[in-house]
Amino acid sequence: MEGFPLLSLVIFLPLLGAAIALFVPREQIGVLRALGLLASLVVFAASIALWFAFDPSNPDFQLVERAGWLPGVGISYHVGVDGISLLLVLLTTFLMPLTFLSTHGAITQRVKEFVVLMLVLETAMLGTFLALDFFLFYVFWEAMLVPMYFLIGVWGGPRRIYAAVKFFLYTMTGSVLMLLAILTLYFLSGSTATSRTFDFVELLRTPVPTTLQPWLFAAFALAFAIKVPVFPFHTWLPDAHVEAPTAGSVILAAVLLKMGTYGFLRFCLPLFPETAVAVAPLIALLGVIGILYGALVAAMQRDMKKLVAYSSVSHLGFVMLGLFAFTPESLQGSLIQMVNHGLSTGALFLLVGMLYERAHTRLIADFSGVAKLMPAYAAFFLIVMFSSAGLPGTNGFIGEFLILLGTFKADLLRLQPYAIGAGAGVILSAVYLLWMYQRIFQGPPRPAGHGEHLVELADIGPREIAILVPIVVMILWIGIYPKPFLDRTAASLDKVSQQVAVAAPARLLAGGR
Amino acid sequence: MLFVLPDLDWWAIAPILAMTITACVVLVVDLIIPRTPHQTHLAIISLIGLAITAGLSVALWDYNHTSAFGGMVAADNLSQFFNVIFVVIVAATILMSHDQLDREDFHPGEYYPLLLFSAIGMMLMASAADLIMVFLGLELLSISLYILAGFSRRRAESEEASIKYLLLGAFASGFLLYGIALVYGTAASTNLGCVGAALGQRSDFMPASCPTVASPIAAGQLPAMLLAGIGMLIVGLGFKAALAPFHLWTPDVYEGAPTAVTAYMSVAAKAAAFAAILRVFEIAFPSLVPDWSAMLAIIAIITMVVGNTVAIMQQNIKRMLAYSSIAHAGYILVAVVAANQLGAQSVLFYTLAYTLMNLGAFAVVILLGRRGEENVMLADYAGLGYRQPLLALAMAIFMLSLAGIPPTAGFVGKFFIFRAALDAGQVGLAVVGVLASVISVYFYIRVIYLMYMVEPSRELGPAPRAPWTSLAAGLAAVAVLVLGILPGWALAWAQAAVGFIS
Repeated sequence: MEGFPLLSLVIFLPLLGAAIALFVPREQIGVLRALGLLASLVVFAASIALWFAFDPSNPDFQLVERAGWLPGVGISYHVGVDGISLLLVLLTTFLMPLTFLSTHGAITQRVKEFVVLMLVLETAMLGTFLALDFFLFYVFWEAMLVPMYFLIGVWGGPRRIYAAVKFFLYTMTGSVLMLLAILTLYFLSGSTATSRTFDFVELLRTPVPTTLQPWLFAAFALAFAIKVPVFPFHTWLPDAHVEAPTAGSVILAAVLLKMGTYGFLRFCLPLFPETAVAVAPLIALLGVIGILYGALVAAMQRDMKKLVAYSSVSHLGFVMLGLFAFTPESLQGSLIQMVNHGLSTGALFLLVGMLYERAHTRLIADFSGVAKLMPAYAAFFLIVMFSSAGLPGTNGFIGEFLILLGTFKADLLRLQPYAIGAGAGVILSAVYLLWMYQRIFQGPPRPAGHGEHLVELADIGPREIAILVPIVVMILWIGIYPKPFLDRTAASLDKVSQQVAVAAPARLLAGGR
Repeated sequence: MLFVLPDLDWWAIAPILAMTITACVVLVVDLIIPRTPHQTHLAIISLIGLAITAGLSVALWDYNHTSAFGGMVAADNLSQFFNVIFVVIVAATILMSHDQLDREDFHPGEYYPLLLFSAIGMMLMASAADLIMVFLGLELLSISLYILAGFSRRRAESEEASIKYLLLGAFASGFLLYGIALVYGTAASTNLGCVGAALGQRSDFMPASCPTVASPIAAGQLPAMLLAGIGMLIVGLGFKAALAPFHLWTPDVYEGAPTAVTAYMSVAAKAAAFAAILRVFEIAFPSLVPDWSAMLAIIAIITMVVGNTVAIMQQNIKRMLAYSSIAHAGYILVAVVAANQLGAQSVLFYTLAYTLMNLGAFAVVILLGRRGEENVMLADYAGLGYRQPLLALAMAIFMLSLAGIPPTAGFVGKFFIFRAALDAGQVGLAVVGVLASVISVYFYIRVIYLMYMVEPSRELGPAPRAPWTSLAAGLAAVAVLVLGILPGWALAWAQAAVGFIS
């Protein structure tokens, strides 16, 4: 495989699929859907090759490709994969075919545009995870906004335009300041025009003056915190999720939110370790607030989709807490939890979407006794819900356990109280999920809806089962035997943990291990 | 008294001569050949002349005669770069106008020559080695534009635009002239190279001889007269570039003028003004960078903030694009303020990018017009994405580029502008700039959501055949994407064009 541009293939195959889709007549809805599914399956197959080509023992970037782009400016086309990005790339390519499969009932208008935009979005997402040049990264990062804006705005609910514009403006505000921070790093990388670079690997070796570190960290952190979203930057999320079509919600929750946490892990921690350590208590506090606040607000929702949206705020609070405890365990937990959240929340959105396609309502009060009406659906819902609540045996448990363990072990930062708060969040997540399950699935069975709009519910069919089975398999696989996943992430995450520890101020290291 | 014949280097002005001959030929041909409704042959002659002009400019790359005609004209790479931009602007405007001349009841025999003569003015401004030359070029440009703005004789707004532009423009020209006089009062010359030599170290642009004056800078003084002169030059040139607070004419004139002329004005006058600003400030006043860059920095902030915030409230797309063009002048000014080679390079690249995306956007506005109605309200764009998908796609590309979203020319341009600003230590300016561009995203993506996410409120009637205008829009859209993904060659040219700036 040496020299074969596997990563470029993975990144740009979806774009090729989009280009082909442009030439399919818009009336051929079946062909377009098949093309979208096929293209995303081919990308998934290519990323499986990536999994086998990846060397778990190597903490550095692998399968690196590098070519001059604007050599005079220090910009290159530079991509590579390591233990941090590998799982997120696979998560993306794994969910895309399932998402395409889920849209047969929901997306009936403008299918051509939908397929093209989804594939363009996939290229942008994969490019963001794999880019190792800041210019390239920023291009992919911003390019993600446009297709997502269209997905929400064209196929979304009644307030879709408001939600789409809010999503665009919020994320853009964060990212332009990151652009200035990227430029500042570029100027720090050399004293002459030819020695400066946007290359991430080279910038890692550039010492950042301690006076500048807080500012640059803040600019990066704002961009990522809005994307995650960290409390109190989360207000765009419920709007975007509720208005987006199911496919948009799945991609938004499963992948786009990970861009934020990925950004913290990839850039903020290794580039600005001193500041990261200094602000860790603050960010851990925001994480815990997010966990508790998200869970409490989720519990009070009457709309299922909003409930799942707020549960995202809660789950990503865990990830943030784990990232800023800096221990190898907590970082591993965070990374696994990113994948878990992608699987379980993605699946929850798919499940809510299936119910919505039948009943055209998402209000919890409109349902009762669904378990008797749709037994297969209820079984899948139960498993996914357990995963989301972090029950042992499911993937959610592995992630949350590692995060809490790692946070308790972070003696230097004294984050134990935060871990206790986060532990309360685990209980709250069981509360809102089980309560929702009880109201929807138990009780006397009756047609869904209220007033005169009553619908008899039919159980899920083979296509929907085909969507859910792979996700449930992954949920149980990570839950029961997570070793293959942890092995592949360990080396890279240990490296990040050490980078932070080495650079951490002496007072924090004085405590010792 | 001995009369020394000045150095008549005809090659140095070859592109300008070609443009002048083209304009005259078009005038004469219109008299000889009988009229047809579209007068397509006039457009074709003009385009051929433009191609020759561009060819000559490219051939004169690295010619570098900086004081031809007794120190009046500089034929360096900066001139040639802008000459090519001007040719692109005029060619695109001719393509965009051709299909509409009949509908708008324009007379092509005057319309095309006026465009060409105004282009001569722009080329003179970009090649000026003397403040007098800047003034002459600016007047030639302005007078042609005053007439063009009033070309829709039947619409009162067009006449209003013309008169308004003339009255205010004459005032601005007065400022410019007064500024030139005050600079002359300090440096005893209007030649840019001589002024530069008199005020500081710059001697590479000096003509054969300059009047000798004791440098006031070397003596540690900065005469108020000189500062006032520089301020007035800024007012005069800033008026043409539509910088706030000298922008008040812009929305009314842009709204009233025929759309093709608006498109032309919004890019042509701005490009020419920035060419002149670069020349005047980098050659004549490099020793006074802290003074003029401080003045321009304030203007840049006001321009970006005013342009973008007021654009949000517009319901008429021509007015919206007018305010957006003000904002874009602000971004370019940020690069001027940086006052280094990166900045000058960014000015050139952004001018090119802005030219393509703004002309493209106006081409779409023109294509939406119907006989007797311009359809310039934002609401007219509702549902365009499904009625005319290709047109809407092009418009979406232009809007995203104007908003600075990758992978478009607008993004690369802004990226390099803010890089130059940070290089010069102008962090505050860069922060205001990026935040202002976030504001701008709001009104650009409004056009996109109207096109794709809102049902049309009324029917506009069948789209008339407009192959030339469609060609212009299509070419601009492709160019915006190509410049966004592979900007390397254009950046290299821009860098070669500003090699004289340290």
